[in-house]
Amino acid sequence: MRASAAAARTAWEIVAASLASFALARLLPAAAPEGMSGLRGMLVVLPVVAALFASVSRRARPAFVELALWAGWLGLALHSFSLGIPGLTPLVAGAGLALAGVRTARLVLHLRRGVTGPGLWPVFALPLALYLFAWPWATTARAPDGDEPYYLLLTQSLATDGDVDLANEYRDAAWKRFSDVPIAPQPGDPVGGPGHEGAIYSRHSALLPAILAPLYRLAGPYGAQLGMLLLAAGAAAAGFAAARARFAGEVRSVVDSWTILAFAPPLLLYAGQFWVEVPAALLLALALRSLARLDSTQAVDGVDGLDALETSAASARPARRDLIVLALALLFLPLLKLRFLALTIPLGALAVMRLRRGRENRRVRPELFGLLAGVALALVALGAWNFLRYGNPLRMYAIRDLAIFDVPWSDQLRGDFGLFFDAAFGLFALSPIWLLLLPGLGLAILHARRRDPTHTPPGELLALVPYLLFVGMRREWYGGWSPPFRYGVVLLPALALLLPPLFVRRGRQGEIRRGLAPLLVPALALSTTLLAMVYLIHPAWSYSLADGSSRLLDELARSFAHRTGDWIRLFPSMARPRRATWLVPLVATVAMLGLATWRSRARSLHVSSADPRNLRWPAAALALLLGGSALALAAQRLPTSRLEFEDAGIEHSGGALYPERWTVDRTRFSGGWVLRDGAALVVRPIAGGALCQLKIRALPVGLTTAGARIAVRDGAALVASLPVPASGAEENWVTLETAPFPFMPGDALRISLELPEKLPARRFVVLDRADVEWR
Amino acid sequence: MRAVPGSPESAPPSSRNLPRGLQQVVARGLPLALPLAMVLAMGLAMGLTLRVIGGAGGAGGTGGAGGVGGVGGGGDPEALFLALWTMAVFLPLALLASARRPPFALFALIQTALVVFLPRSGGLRPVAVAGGLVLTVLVLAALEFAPAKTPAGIRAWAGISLATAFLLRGHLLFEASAADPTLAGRFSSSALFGLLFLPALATGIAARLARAGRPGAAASAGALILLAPQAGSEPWWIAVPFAALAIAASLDQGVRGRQLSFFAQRGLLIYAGLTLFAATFPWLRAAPVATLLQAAVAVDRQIAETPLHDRVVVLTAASPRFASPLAGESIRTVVVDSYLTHGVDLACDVPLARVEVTETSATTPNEAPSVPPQSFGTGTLVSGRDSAEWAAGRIDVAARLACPAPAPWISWIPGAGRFLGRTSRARISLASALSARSLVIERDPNLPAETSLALFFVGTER
Repeated sequence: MRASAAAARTAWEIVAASLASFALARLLPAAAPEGMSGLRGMLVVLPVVAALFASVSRRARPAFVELALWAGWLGLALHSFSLGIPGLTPLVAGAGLALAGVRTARLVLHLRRGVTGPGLWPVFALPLALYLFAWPWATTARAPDGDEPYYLLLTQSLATDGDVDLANEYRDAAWKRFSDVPIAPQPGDPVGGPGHEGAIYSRHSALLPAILAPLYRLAGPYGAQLGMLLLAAGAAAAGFAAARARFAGEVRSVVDSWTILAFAPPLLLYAGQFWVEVPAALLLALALRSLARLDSTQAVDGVDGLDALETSAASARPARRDLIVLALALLFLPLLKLRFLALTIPLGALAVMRLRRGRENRRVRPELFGLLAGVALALVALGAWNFLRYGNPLRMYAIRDLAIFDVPWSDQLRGDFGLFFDAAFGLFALSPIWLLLLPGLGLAILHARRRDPTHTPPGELLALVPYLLFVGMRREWYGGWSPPFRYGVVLLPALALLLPPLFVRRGRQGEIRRGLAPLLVPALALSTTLLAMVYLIHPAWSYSLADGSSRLLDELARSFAHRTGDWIRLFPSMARPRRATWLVPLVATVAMLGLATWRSRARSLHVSSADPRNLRWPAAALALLLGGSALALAAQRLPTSRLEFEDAGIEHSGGALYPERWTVDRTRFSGGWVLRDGAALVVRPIAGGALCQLKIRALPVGLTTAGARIAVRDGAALVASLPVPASGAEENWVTLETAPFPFMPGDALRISLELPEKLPARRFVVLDRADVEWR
Repeated sequence: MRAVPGSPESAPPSSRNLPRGLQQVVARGLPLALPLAMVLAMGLAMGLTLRVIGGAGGAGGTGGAGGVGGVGGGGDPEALFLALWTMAVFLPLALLASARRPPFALFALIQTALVVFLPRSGGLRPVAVAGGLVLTVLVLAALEFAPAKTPAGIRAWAGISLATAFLLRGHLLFEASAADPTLAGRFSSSALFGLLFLPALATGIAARLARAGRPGAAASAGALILLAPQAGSEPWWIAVPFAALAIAASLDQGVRGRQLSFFAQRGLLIYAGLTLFAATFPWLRAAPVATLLQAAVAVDRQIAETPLHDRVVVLTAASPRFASPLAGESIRTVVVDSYLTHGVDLACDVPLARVEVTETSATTPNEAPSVPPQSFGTGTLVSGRDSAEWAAGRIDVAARLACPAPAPWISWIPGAGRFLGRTSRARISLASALSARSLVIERDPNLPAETSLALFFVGTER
């Protein structure tokens, strides 16, 4: 009764807050200076955000200072443009997001203490509040990119015409409702067959647009974006439910892992964006929850207090409802995107295995087999529909796309490692807190044979392997035109299952879970918070080109190139392998496992936060600052061994990026810089000796006669003049080698193209890289 | 099994196997090492070198402003100042018990990132760094004094007093070094008074009152002493509620008294917060609370358009005109932030530029209107009231000024010299609201040829 009264109160508060938001939308001037619309949006949604925060916990009221800071922020948001400080708006937005983050953190602490009940509303409403508050700023600071506008266009078609034929949408430029960038059909999009001539279909599945279409119909693109926010918050809540079902009785540890899942990137960045991976994560989490209930090994004993309350909710034997949820999740996954079949099949197999094994499951065995058979039939029917409509049961894929064994193992390894370790597209660079997966995985492997219910079962982890292999073998494993870890977002609820055992505070001595180093979590949390703030304030900075760098590193290099050397080479890139590509993951893995196990000897894991000698947080900040200093020193002191000419740290005067910026599947090319007549590059190698020798990899394009030369100057002195061979019938890369020349630390080398005569525009030299040798 | 605070099981991991004395050193020293590590990281990341500490004694002329927060050759004095200022505020804060909690660590990283990553020009970096420092002091002070049952000791009062003093008056050390670059010179009498005497007095009195069981009185006395110079410059009517709050906050006896004290202490906290935000570099408002209250009253005067966007336009004899189309919104005021170069000899009220707003849209940039305007509003920027020499804060320039400079809108650190550069804000009110379609700002042709007017911000207000 009390629960229903609380739910009614929450509902009324949200309705009232929504009305207040509508009123604010009318009151605040819509025609605001450029950049103001994001702040205006944050002010408009604030009442609903406040209502959602309040609904999470009635007892965790904001402190006076917090309220005062919110009041100050409101004043600043309204007056920031009057101050006349260029670039202030993003910082004001960032300050608001930080305040929302503080509120979120305080509410998470209340959830950890079990202040709220066992319902899922708090773990849904809290991420929704934060996503909703960040959404206006993020969407105005960045236009839909990659596949997003195509999903929106399909949504619009379903909402307005009720069909999936996009020909009229392309013709009428319907994209203008949500984008300034014209949208044309993607290469390889299916077209209408006999009886449907002239039709243009999307290569993307219509399930997500169909889910969003009603909201689009109601509120246009904003409605669809709101739908994505709800799906993202739903994925976070379902991830919590899956972890709770698996680790019944360890609610605090489950809340810890849910905090990472919900509030750390990538889910934080993907909320509000149009990617199928977000609803797929929701479906996977639901499937994992049902699978946990089918597992006869999970523990329910030895729990008390709040944990017992949670356990009673979580440990019930599988019900028919769970089986239906499992079957629907497995069915909808490939309907969202065919590649998720690589998850459906192993998860379905795991369900069958669990069903055969568990004695408690006997009651529901016929139903599950029936449902799984229904899923299989539905998938066959989908293939038949695809064949009839598009002439291909796999729609736009081919069987050769599944030829995992034809892919060189090095490519496979690069893709799979890149998903996690790449500086531009990997999970760990985006959100360092996820590095906890490494000790979590170690722990799961250690306990794989014991069937220990307090550890992640191997079945769920093995079920992810086919999908990881399938994604890793793709040449565009990095996603492209999306924030990092796009293909991995679907796996987040499953990966989060590796984390609770790390946070368990009870258990036997000497185990790795007892040994989580106290510095580790604060250091990773602080660095993740900072990165998340950067990406929320500058959403476009999470989009990188597959050129060996990342947008963030490019910004860093542009800021400091003149003074602090080459940063990019210190970070791993699987798109452009270098020494750091393998060294950094190795060091990171060893360091993580070492730090995690170190405490098992030192023992004192749990220092009370009230203890004045608890220095974890300042020590973690100190470690990060010293680590950053060491990195800066390395960037300035380690001799340059290779120069990549398109790197942001190099000063480009004329010329162009090669291949051009929007090239699909960029790693097919040796990225470089187009050097034309009059263009020049200025590089500042870090000296490793008194004599320098360059071996420049170059591609002459359209140079039919000899005579062109690449000039290398150190200040005014010409240190090398390298003849460029004429292009043959086929364009071939050549290596041009200078003689060793004297080089003083701090010198800048200017590289330019010198031609005997003026050449047409299509004739140039592409410079890929220069290997630098020192003597 | 939870560890018990104070038991061997709960000792910090890094110091668990260390001798007790060394444990104390680590426990005390580690937070203090954090500000030093911040400066190290800032310096290494930005390639700052010690050669900029010495710097040039002063710019020769007044023409080389290099933009707001501009950078001259040989380093980035603004970054170095911000780094050292940050360290000066964080070091005393490291004495607090609340420095062991997550906000201190997070603020340390954020401050470092702000100094390192924000662009050098435009005034954004000092504004953001100052805001971050104020928040750090306020949040740590609130955390320190939140558990009312454990009255803060002398170390806490000293930490907060020193941090507040360096926050409010840290720039005085930078300015004082212009006259005398020695250490003794930097601690001139005014700097000595503000940075050492006031915090020492505030610490002593507040700690004594707190020890006597009067935390409300301690907070009032501490705030009163530390903010005395700012409070003294406020209009008289600000003093009344401030005094009332201070008296009420000192009432710790009885239920009614405690309730009154509770609310009064929060009022004082707001007062202190407002003072800190508006009185620190780069805003340096003499009467910070009154300034912010006036801004709050004008909440309806929203900026409609910012025609300059993020550009800087310099009006010279050769290029005297800035024109921009407007969207046609109804506006009442034009706001202009600017400074003069080579304007030392200008007398007061000399016209600097004409501001014209029209309702026609015929104006194109740098061309005269081709059709007569239906209606228009004009105003004039004049010296001494609306704009002033950018280096008016420099001792030798101030002595030569033909007209005293108005209060600066925002101060900044130039690329060379030990003084604060300044921009001025002018507000041109139109006779009536106009649906403005174009804006023209034209330098007065009678100005000396070498005098230029740099425009940093132009805004139209509803």
